[in-house]
Amino acid sequence: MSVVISGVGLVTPLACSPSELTDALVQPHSALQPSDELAQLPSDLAGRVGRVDLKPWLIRRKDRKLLSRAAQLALPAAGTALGTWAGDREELGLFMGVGREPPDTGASEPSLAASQRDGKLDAEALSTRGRELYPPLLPLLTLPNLVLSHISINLGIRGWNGTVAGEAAAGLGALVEGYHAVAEGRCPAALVGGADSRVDFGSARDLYRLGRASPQRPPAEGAVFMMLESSETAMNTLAVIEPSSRRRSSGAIPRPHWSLTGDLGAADGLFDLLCALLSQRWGEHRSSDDEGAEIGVWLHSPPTPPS
Amino acid sequence: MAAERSLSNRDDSQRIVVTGMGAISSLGHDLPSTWAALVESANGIRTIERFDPTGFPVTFGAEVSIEHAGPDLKGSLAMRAASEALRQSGLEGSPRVGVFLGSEADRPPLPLVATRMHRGQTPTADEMAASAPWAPTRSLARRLGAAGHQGTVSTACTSSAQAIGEAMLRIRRGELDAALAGGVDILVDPLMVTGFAILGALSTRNDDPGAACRPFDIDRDGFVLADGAAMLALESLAHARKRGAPVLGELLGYGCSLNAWRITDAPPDGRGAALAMNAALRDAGLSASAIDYVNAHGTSTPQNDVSEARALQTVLGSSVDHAWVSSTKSMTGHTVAACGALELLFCLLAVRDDVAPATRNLDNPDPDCALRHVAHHSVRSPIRFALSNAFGFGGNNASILVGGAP
Repeated sequence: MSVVISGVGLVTPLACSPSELTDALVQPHSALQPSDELAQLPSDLAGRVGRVDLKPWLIRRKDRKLLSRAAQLALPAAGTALGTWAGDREELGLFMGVGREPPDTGASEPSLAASQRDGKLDAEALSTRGRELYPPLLPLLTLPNLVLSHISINLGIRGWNGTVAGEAAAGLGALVEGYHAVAEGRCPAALVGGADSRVDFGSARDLYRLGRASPQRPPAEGAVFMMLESSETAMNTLAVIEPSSRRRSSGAIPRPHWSLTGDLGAADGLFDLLCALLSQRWGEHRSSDDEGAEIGVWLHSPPTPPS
Repeated sequence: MAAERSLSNRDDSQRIVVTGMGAISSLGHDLPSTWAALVESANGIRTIERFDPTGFPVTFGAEVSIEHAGPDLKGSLAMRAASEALRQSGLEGSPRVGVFLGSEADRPPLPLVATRMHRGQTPTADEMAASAPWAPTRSLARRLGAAGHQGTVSTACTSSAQAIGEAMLRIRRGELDAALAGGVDILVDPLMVTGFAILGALSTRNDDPGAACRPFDIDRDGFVLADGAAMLALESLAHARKRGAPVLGELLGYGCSLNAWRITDAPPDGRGAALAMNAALRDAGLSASAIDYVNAHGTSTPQNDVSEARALQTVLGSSVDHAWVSSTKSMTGHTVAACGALELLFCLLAVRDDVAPATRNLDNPDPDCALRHVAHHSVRSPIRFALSNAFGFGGNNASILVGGAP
């Protein structure tokens, strides 16, 4: 039994479907855009996705306000990758690479500002004015596992799961976890992906300060998901995968797509793998992050059907 | 019978044993003192001293304060629990030893944030690196010299249970010989108190903190924020025997699931939680009748306790009158990213000592939570297998089944 990729979904600045991405890889064009918000940083370019239509994916439309930006990108990408899979979603696995805890993009600043007296935190002010101004939904937007939760809730997934916290290699790490869950029979199939959004001023500033963004590596947002299944049950095989060795690295592997779409954070390694799949670049693909984790997977062509 | 079958199904390289345990909580600064206090049903929940809580909707928590912790209290707690576990285990770092932690992103102290805002300053690169959720994982790996896989799981209250599960799977798979696994969290913080109080999740019994956390009691009104860290040295039985390490207990089965319900509530029927418990039982090759003690997630919130009780009733079936059930959060408070590891340690010690710790403050059990509760005082009873539940905000569930030393 081998494990195969049977579906893909993406929401990125460069493309939001496999066919769009294939076209973009054949005729490369940059999706990076300048932003006034980033004007004070070394580059004002970022890879942004426009407003995402969540209506087809949300059970309750009013829940949109509960979704962080990463969750808004992840849900349609995950739903597209899942496609029309007809198995029991109670057993379907869900594994995600998530980045740093999503920043609150300044939402708590009015509360903190109101909690100060003469430049120092004042407990009484915090417990009164500060508390009144504290955004009640903030905890729901900043916990990293809630991206996974929104996918679970809206797509009805209840199986084995995990989050891989990290940077570029996190999505590929999630793919490897999903691979093992399927290969070991813990779930019949697994949805694996990565999602991140780092284009607000605070996140982009932090990345530049950490040395994890540059004019050649602009910050971006996006989500990439893949459906993994056993070769014995998959109705569709885009590629066969298996993990390769893991090793320590000295930093992030530069990606050609950074000049087109920017660095997609926790989705970056999976995006690179998706580009390889659509370009039929079979072989080993590795992803590493600035923290020194390097993960590799082998991507094999689908078996040729017997004539 | 079922137990013997499960133990013989895996060879010694795939059986996961515990060779070191360490913890720090509001009940004690190491595992022996924490366990001794727990068995005595001591209270670890008091009025907050870390900051002046006057005027806050909640003025109490389960704080841990240690001397010379410096600004990185979270890192200090993790290191202290890890050192205790490693001392006991004698485990040394190697390329085949990994580190797996449940940990959320850290928050700089609020007074520092306020001063910075006033001065228009932002955090330095070093401070940002230190606040990443994976910072304690990296730090412990460096300290141990562990060059194997490092994993950080941020799934709220399930974080450390899933981190331990991940370590189990990797050792079984042969990727690692051993791992340090556990969790750490600091919750007694003005922003956490504010945020969770606004969500209505916290108990507000400010006049009687010791009676605030009362899981499964009819008068429960929310959970209690806590600090803590808990670590386990895990290795294959073959590896432990080869190096002559002390074998303290065995992790027999791990299962996890998702609720697919709502962000802030658990499903009334406990469906997701039951899936995780059944997966752990399947993984161990045991039937529910083998479970002698359950350390429940038992947060003391009105909805979650009913949901978990229904899940336990479903899973245990006719054995529901056999398995003792308690929630030790009634004494330690809720350590969120660390609770899965801390309560797993309590299960291992329950098996070792044949003692089921109690649910403190369980004066009037909720009829909707009908279980074989250990109320007020711990009970001495043969405990061969114990189940630890961790169910997270957002709908992640994880269960781990443990047994004694082989």
